Amino acid sequence: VIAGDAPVVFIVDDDANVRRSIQDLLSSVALRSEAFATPQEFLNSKRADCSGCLVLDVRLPGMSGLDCQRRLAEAGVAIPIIFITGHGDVPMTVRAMKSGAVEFLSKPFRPQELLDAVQQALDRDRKSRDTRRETAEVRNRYETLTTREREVMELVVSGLLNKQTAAKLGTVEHTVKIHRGHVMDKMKADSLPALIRMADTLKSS
Amino acid sequence: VKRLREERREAFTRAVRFENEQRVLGKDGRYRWFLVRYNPLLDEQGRVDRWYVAAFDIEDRKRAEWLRAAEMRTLQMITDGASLTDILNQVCTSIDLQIAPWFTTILLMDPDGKKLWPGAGPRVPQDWARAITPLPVAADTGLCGTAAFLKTRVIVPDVAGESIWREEYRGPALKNAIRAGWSQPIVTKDNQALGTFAVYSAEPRVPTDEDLALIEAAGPIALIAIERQRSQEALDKARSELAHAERVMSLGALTASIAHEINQPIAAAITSAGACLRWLNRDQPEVQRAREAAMRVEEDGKRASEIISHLKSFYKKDVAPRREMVSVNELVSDMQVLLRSEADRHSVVMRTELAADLPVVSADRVQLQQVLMNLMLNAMEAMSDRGGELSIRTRREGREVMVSVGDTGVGIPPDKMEEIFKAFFTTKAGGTGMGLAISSTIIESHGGGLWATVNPGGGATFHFTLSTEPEAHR
Repeated sequence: VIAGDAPVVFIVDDDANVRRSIQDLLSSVALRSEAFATPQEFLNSKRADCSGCLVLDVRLPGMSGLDCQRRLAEAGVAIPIIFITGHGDVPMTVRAMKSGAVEFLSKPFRPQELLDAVQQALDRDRKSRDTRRETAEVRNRYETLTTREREVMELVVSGLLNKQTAAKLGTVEHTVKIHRGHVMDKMKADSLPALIRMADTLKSS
Repeated sequence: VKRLREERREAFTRAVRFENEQRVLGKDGRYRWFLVRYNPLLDEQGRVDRWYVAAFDIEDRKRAEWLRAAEMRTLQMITDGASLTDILNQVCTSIDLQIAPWFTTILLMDPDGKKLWPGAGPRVPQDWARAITPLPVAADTGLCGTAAFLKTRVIVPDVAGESIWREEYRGPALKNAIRAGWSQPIVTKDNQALGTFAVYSAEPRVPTDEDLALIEAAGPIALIAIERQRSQEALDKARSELAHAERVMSLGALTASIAHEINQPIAAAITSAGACLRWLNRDQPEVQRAREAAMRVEEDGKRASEIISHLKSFYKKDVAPRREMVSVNELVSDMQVLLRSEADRHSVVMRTELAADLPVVSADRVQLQQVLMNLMLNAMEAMSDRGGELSIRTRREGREVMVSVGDTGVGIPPDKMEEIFKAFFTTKAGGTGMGLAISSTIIESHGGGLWATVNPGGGATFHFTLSTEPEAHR
């Protein structure tokens, strides 16, 4: 039984038999998959946002796998990509890996190699989805802060004491203490280090 | 004979001198031509008293006339492009009319110069021809083998009493009622035997000087026919070797793409095999799914081997151009499979529009594939920087099949339209410049034409036609 939100392995290859055999292999280890003959079909399907990964042939008619990778990046889609190719083309490999490909398999690959790569890609997708979700949550919380609370948070995480913060903001230490308490509550931070980490997350996103 | 008698009876009633030509059977069992003149001697009343009849032997003149006519006929056949067998059979037939009761056959020298093959001989017993050929050229291998070996005429008046024939040749000869004969080698100026005449008789017999002269006189004309055939073969061979070299070179440039194409089914097969094992290794083995996967392994293995056999036919070196019934649509599909990866590499999309009612053509399959490959690769090359569409269309045009290969590439400047078909014209860094020239020769040898047009929307289209009528070919 496969859950509705289980990850999907997308396959883009112009060779029908290759598509079918990969689908069958994935199915034999209980992985869900969807196959497309061209990158265009895949892009048009609007399925790229699903959790999962993409098995992409490098050489495809019309649009190459590398072009497809670029198009996905431009659209802000962060799906992990496993490239497969019929010939070990080194410059192409380097380019693909630099652009964030998980793995680059040359045909014919060992079935286990593909399954390992798929597993790795799904892990990476899960992790990056977790990170993205966390970031989004922190941001949401941050959005609930008042302007003064944000100012207090910025100075506190930069290492200033309450007294120094109060001086900087031209207020008294007691008021800062109250703001700081609100910040910790609203941000759901149980310690100063936790708040600092959240501030970092916000900065880097 | 009947006509001759009628003529004579009628002439006798008119009492004027007349003459005719007659073939008269001599005591030696041979016919000779005579000119016969009839002069009436009239009595006083003007009636015919008696006829003076004079006969002149005109055999030599007749033979000379015959020889000239036979030469003319043979030369005409050569210019008309008749096959060597037809020409030589015609030569034998006309000699047989003159030389009866002898009958004639021609053996041809193998290119290796070591054995003789049947060339012609409408009256020669087939069993006999089969029994003695290929006939080794040696000093003791029957009439022709010996004559070709010695490069001189060999006469055997009675096979039964002849010692130079080996038993394996004497036996079949006697069994096929060949009792006497002579062989006249057909020798070139540089003393090379290209074949032999052999003349046989069912009875022991010695040829007359005239018989020998007749065959000797027929020698040069047979030599012309054989030499012409040999030079045609050499030319065909050179052409086909050139085409082969070009084919191998263009395939060499495609190695990566073809490897990719073979890799596809192999990858699919290995993946399916992996799936098959995993279905079986489950706690509850899924036998049906495993079976399906195994069947796909088989299917893909077959697919890979088919691609390889396409390639093999491409590399194969055929000396003589072949003719077989070829479906042009099938040819296009085959080339599409072979060149799919190359198209991908150039970001070229291939489209085909194949007429359903296309008749088969009699053609050399590999050579046609080569033409198609040339045109398709050229088209891709023309689009390689920006991608585009390669379209292949087949259709019926009256008694011809027409194939058009179009691209959306850089096109051809009008002043280069003629030049592109010339040898050594190339725009490619690694090109030999032979592709289109060879393609053009191939299509012409199939009785068709190859030309190019410029597309209104950019790019070029190459068209070629093939006759659906086999006799149109050279």
